[in-house]
Amino acid sequence: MSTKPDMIQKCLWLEILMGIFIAGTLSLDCNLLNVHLRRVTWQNLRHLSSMSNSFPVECLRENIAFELPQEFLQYTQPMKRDIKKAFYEMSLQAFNIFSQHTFKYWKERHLKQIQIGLDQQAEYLNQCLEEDKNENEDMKEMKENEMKPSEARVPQLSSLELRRYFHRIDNFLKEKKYSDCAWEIVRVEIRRCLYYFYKFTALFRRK
Amino acid sequence: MLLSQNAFIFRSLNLVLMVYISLVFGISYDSPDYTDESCTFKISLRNFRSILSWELKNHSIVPTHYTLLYTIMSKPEDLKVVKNCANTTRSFCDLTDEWRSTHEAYVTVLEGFSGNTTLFSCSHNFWLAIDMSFEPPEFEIVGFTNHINVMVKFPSIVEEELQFDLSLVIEEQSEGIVKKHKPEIKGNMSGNFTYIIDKLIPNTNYCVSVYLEHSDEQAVIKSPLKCTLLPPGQESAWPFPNLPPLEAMDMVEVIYINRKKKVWDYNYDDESDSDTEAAPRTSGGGYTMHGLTVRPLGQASATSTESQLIDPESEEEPDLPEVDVELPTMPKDSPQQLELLSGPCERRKSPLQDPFPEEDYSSTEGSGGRITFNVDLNSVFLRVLDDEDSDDLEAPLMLSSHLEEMVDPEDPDNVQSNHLLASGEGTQPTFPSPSSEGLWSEDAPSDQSDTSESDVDLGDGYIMR
Repeated sequence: MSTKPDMIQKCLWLEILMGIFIAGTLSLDCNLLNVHLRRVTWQNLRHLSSMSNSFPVECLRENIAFELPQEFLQYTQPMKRDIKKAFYEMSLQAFNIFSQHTFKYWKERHLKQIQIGLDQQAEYLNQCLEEDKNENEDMKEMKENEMKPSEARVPQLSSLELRRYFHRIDNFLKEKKYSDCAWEIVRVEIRRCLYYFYKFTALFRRK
Repeated sequence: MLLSQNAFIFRSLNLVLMVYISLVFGISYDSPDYTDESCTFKISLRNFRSILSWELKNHSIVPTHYTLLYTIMSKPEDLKVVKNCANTTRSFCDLTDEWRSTHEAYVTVLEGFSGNTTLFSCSHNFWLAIDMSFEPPEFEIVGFTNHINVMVKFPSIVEEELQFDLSLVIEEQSEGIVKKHKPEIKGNMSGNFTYIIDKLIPNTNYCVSVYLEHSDEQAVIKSPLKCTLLPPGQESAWPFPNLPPLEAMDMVEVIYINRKKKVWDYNYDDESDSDTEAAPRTSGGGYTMHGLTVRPLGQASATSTESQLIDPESEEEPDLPEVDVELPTMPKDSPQQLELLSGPCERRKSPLQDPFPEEDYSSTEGSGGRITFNVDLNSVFLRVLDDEDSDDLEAPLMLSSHLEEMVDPEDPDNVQSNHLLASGEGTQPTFPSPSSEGLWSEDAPSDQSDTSESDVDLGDGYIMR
């Protein structure tokens, strides 16, 4: 019984620290978060590139088209919120893929950094989305009244399409039994996808 | 028994074999390289052309010609030969027309031949956003007095897809200080682009280097420096250099010394000014010397002092033979660059101020007082109006612009005359007359004298330092 107040005290300290941390991250402005996001994303791209020294030519015959959703490729002026949502989804899915398997020949350090980086990406995006949500609730009514027919036809990025895309990647890995060639191909594909989103982060900057 | 022993041996051997096989495979899996890296590749953007160059690690292999193939990784496609780089003797290839996307990953295969024999085949995976290095563009510089025109030459036509997230950086170096300029380029980096680096110091050497910076990448390739010595500033016709606008002024106390033909007896009735630097000097020879000790009040670090020199002679003191102006030692840490005014007199024509009205100096002549006013020593134009004692000592006194060496009042022998020149009679002043007008005030109070003085022993009406 005497240990109870000690435990409570320890928990209290931990909670206080966590609270400060959460408050600290929550208090970050979305613009600043975007700067962090951009930097973290670029670091992840670098890690993905340096994970492998060379690509074996024989792996080319196993290459397939994963068909990244065309919605991403065709966007010129996407809705910020849709892109952020899709980016968040993509970060989580990529994290899941890389968490599935450890690679003997891939550098552990790079893999761990990628996982941490993807997690950070998701965190930043989540916070920004929360912030946007609160702001947009007021704007929503105004926008609905102003929306023209042409705008209604603009396709919105579908989270479902993105999940299907990552499902294809996951299936590919399983079919190829997580072979080295399969991992090489997946690494390059996820890097390609991430680069599209990296380019979109330039649009996140508010004016 | 035998069977069990055999079984045991058999199982042991099996185990050893399994361990051995797994070790072999494990080591082979741990090998980071799929293919031996016999080639070193480099892709760089040169004048906005993508140039892939390669080099063999093993220099003993000398192929006669090369063939480059590539494919993309976003969808399964066969390797295709780059047309301009099939059976080429060069060790580089222009891929501007082939590799047009920064999103795509390109797998290249380089084959080296000697005759019909394939000597080697090496491959590499390129991703332009990371692997591309950017060579600096060509540029020219033209130096002017206070600015440099930097003309950067970009190619006139740039492929749209090859637009990386680049920014141009112009570095300006001078005397160990490096400044970076990041001009904003609207639209594509095409055609010639001119940037002006202004607010530079004339007659100074500047070196310029340009390079392209790619978003978050840190590695850059800087161009070789191009240096220029800027021409000096326009010199005025006036023999003395132009003065900058007078922004700070030194408060100068002019201590008028009125001496008669006798040895000054250091008779101070009150306290002497504690700031007095001039040491009293006896005027030997039995003649009267008038000394104007000019010294700055406080620690002003003005580059010039403005003055209105009071005519120390007045009608009321007809027996003033000469005027001696001596500059006391300036603080060493604040050298006063005295420059001449070439323009019209801009000095304040405020009436003489007597900041020490309470002080009562008595002099042997009965006139006293210390007057403080701003003295522009560069344009001090002393006219010695000595109507009585000297014959025609109407000589303008010119202060040169290099008044770094001040006469040490404690060193009366230091009378270098290169600072203060007194032209003798008949010498025409080279100063414009307005400056003299501004300087001279004939309304010098007659009751000035200064009990502290520093004199130079002059002779023949020349005023020397």
